[in-house]
Amino acid sequence: MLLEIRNFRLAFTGYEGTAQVLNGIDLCIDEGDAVGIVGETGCGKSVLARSILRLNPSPPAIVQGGSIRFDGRDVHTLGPSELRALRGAGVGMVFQDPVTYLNPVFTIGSQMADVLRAHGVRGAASIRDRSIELLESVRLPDAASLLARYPHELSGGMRQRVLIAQALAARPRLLLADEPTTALDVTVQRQVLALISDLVARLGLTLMLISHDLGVIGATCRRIVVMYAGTIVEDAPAAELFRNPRHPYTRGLLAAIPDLQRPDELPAGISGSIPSLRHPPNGCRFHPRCPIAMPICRETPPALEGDAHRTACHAA
Amino acid sequence: MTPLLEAQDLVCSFGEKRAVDRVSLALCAGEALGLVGESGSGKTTILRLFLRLTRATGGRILHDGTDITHAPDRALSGLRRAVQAVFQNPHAALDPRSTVFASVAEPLRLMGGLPRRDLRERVASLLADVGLGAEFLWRYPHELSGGQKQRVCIARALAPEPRALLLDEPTSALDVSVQAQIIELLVRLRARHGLAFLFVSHNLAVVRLLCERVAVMRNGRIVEEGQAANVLSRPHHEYTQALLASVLPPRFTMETAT
Repeated sequence: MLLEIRNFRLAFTGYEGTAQVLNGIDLCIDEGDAVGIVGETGCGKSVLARSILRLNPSPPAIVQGGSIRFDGRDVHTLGPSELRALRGAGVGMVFQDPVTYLNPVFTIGSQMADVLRAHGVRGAASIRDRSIELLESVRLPDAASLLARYPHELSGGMRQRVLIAQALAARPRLLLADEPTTALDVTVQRQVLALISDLVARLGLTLMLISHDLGVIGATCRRIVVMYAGTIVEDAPAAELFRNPRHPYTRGLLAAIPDLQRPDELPAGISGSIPSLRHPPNGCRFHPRCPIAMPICRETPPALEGDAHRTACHAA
Repeated sequence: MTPLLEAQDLVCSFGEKRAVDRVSLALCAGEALGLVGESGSGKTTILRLFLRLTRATGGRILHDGTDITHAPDRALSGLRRAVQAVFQNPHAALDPRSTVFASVAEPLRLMGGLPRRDLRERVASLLADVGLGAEFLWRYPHELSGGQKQRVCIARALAPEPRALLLDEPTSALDVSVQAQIIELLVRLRARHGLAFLFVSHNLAVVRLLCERVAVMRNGRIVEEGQAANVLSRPHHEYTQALLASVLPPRFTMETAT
């Protein structure tokens, strides 16, 4: 087991009260697996990803319970130097917006060198060789001349490739990608997703990919975890989830996606809107919007049950 | 039939960059035209040129057959009434200090002709049209979800009883479950009010649902145009083919891919 998250609870405090952002997350990822986390705005998927690297600033974030273990070690017990090793060498992270994660006043070469030096690579020649090797591994053409270029000279897709190269610099075991293609055009999105899949296979990486787009997740992940309002509502192999969605929220999500092949079918929305995490509904957090809610759903939160296909629903 | 809006050989340059390069395009009353292409292809610039928010550097824009390319602002009241816009980011499109009532009433006030006492009733009926109850009248934008804000923007656009809505990625900032609600709303409003749509989007599936005709843009030019059913199922231009090949269909898995 590479990543083991047990009953993890995290809240954000503020002057308007405490928001229960992650409410008892249970998730294990085996070495070599490719797992996608899908959910809508505010479901906690990015906070969960950041929790693995302890990137949520505290305050306002407070860990209220549970644990996150990477390679057997609880990330919340790591000292500063161990934490630095976890970030980069254990887990490489790619973020959504390739424009904001590169510094506009430094060359690509100098920003690659920063990352490599932070992970112990020394000597101008070794840094240059390793930079070129990394940029070539993400299929950037003419990597050597790219080192002298500035971020603004690169397209969005190229910049995202540079960031992926940086995430891979310290040879991580887990690649954590948070909406890596959301800011990109569809044609570029397909290329970047193909690159991620290829790297995962070639380098034997474990992948955790966060997206609001089930299409993106399906194309890169073997297993899909669906989140809603700070909880995991369903977790199943990709094909199984698409064929046999059990949670009413997952079904609603699938029915809402417009299909180019079915132009006469209007997608169906999910009525209502996401609950406030400061005052979440009692019982199942989805029950106010659920078409099949029963009395018990208003009182008792459903447990996430099952083996290969887990569902948190009283009706499933 | 005279088109509601027409671009003839339209050019718009920013410095050396030709954002719109000799585009000819017509939007007729009641029709829905989708404008697709990747970022930077000129879709939004065309929409802004039609709205006269950006000045053309060449060619002509016609509204109901009248050349408005260089018409002075005071001569544009007909265009402003007939053609309204809904933008991509509903969070930025509403004044955070104005109530929903104030935002939707503003175009009605500016046009005049409606007695003050009728204003509230008219705003409430516009909100009802977009599926929002009267309890939303006195709310501020920060009290609304993204989908509710976009509904308010649509209600505001409908206030002058326009003949056309120019929609710039109106669902791109929304979650899919909310996007589906807005699509349903747009289909219903178009049928009820006989509106024409110019719908700018990168999402081909949404365009296919909402539009009969589609124009594909690349590098400021229209590379393919025709019935949506044809263009999006039997594309001729290689760029349209590439665009279609990039669409990730629902329920797509790695197994399907291989």
